[in-house]
Amino acid sequence: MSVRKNFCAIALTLGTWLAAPAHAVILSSVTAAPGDIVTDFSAPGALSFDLDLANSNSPTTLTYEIETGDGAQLSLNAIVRNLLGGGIGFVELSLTNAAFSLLGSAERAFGPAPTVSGGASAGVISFAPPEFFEFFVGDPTATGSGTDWLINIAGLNPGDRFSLRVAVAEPATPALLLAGLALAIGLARRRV
Amino acid sequence: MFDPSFNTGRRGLLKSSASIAIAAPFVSTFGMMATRNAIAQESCARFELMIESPYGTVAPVADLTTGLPLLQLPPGFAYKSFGWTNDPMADGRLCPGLHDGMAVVKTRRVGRSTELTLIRNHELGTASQLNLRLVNAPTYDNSGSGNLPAGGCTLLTVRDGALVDMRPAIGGTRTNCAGGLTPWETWLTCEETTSDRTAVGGKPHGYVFEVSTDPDQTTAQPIVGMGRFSHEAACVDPTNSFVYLTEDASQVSGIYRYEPDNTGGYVNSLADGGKLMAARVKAIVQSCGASTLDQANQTAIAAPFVGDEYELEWVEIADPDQAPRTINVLGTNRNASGPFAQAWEAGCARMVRGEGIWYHAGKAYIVDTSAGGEGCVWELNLASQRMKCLYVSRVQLAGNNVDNIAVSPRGGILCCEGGGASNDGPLGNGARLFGLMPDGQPYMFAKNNLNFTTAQYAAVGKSVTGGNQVGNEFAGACFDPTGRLLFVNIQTPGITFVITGPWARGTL
Repeated sequence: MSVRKNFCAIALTLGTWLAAPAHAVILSSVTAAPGDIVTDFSAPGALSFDLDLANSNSPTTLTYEIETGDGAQLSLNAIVRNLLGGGIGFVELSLTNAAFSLLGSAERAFGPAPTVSGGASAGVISFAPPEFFEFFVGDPTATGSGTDWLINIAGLNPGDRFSLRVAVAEPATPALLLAGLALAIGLARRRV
Repeated sequence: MFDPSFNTGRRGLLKSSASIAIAAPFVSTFGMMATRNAIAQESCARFELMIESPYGTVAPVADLTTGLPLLQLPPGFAYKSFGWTNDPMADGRLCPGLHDGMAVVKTRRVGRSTELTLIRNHELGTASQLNLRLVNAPTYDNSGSGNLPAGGCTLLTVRDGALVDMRPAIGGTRTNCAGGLTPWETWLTCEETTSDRTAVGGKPHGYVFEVSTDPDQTTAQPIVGMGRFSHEAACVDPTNSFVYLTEDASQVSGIYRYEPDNTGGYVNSLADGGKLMAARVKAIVQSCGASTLDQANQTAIAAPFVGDEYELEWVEIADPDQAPRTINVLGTNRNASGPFAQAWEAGCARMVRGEGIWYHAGKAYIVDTSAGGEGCVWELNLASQRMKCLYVSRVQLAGNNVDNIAVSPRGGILCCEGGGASNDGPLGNGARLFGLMPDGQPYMFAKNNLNFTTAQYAAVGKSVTGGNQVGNEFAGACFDPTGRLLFVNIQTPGITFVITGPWARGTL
């Protein structure tokens, strides 16, 4: 078994090419706004990426393909760097064809810890005051200070795909984000 | 607050497409205000007030490290303090004080973390052997009798926005004021003195030293070719490795350029020798104070108005290492550095007191801390060698002796005040950081809010002497390469800050 990582989107930067891991997913495509950069660090059992945000006009969607039907959970961590010049008030991480089994931690270097809320289909990280520098989702630097999020892929088979969508909102537009969150939850319930 | 009598329209900057593009993101009220300033046109002007900041009005903000409101900042900005005087360093000794010039010299990824390495000056004179703190580092002068040079640099490692390491980088130097970043990830530390310890078995001072993040590459040997004078700051033209240098010697300060023999641009390449040159006005483009080249060189550069512009040429200084001597300057005998004495005799330009200098996008931004009343900023176009006065403060409300200067990656100019506290009415007294608009108008970005007792500092784990220190100078402002983090020092009691916030609201 092996992991493949495919260049499928502009502004996608690949991390280390990993050889012969077991029970893994493949990052098969990235849809990102021009100027945004995704760097993939995924490893066996772990979905992991850095997102350098230079353009908040459209969300970033990472699509993963199941390579082995192991039924395991995946951990999720990320570093999101804010290069927008403006503040981030909310971030929504939503899943399609998979579900969160744990919404882990979120941390930042400046200001009070953000709050994490949501459910199986989407988690929302809220910043008050807004975030202008960068933040961690889970424990991307493996310092033990954070808790990775968990994604349940038990129902998926090899070749199946699921997507993680990352959308940021400025402080003034929480209503839009909350509306998106409600829609995502509604869609997830209908699928079930 | 702005000065309605001042007019910058003479230079037409607000009418240019470039300035419109820069101003476009700002709030409409600010744009309206700037337009009003442009309408009230007047030539040969100096600024008298700061305009309203595009970032908003400053107010006390609690430090995320100590909880104390050490700074006043605009809405939305947050900061952490670190690297205080008397904080422990990696070698177990305590951090020295008098934090001064500083730069982010290196950026790299460590794993997935972003690591920034800063080198920070400590403007210390001499101390007894027992009280030296920068000892576990390459050292220049630690011999002879009496007190020993205590100045030098510390190396600060910041990972993901937090300090993870602090250690000595060079010692045995003295009065390390500002300095300059090189394009090859090192720091030029500048001794602002011409003292000489050879009579007591030590070494002469007044030199520039190159400091690397790798102690094995720091020779602690002076770059003698850059001259022996009260060096304040330096910046490097990345296209040819020429180093532009300022001198902080009251009424006898030259503007210098070091042309290295080795233009390869790597660690210690400047030490391979070169020529020291001094600036001389070659042509008057526009001047409110000079009608002859002699007037321009002798008096007008030291008393500028906004919009003054001169074309420079460079004159070789035959003996860069010449000792200080007395010369007659416009009827007054003054003790001048050897390089300045030679420059003056060759008819070169004179500043009142040169301070900060910073390279950005083909230009060097040069500070004279006292010219025109309360200081000025020149913009030297390195290609055309034309030097234009961007900003002059006539009174403290428009800037109280601009000292260190930095330019953000977006091209915004940030100035550190070195003249003490200024009374800003409801905002109180305090030294300030201020920005310059594209047309040179100053606005307040931050204000020193240090008025805490020794006991209050002790309660948050800091061993420094308290008191009303709102007038203590800012120094060492510098941005990380992404422009998201501003680092800056308050010299006494000796604190480094890292500030982040909504930079896009303004020019920085």
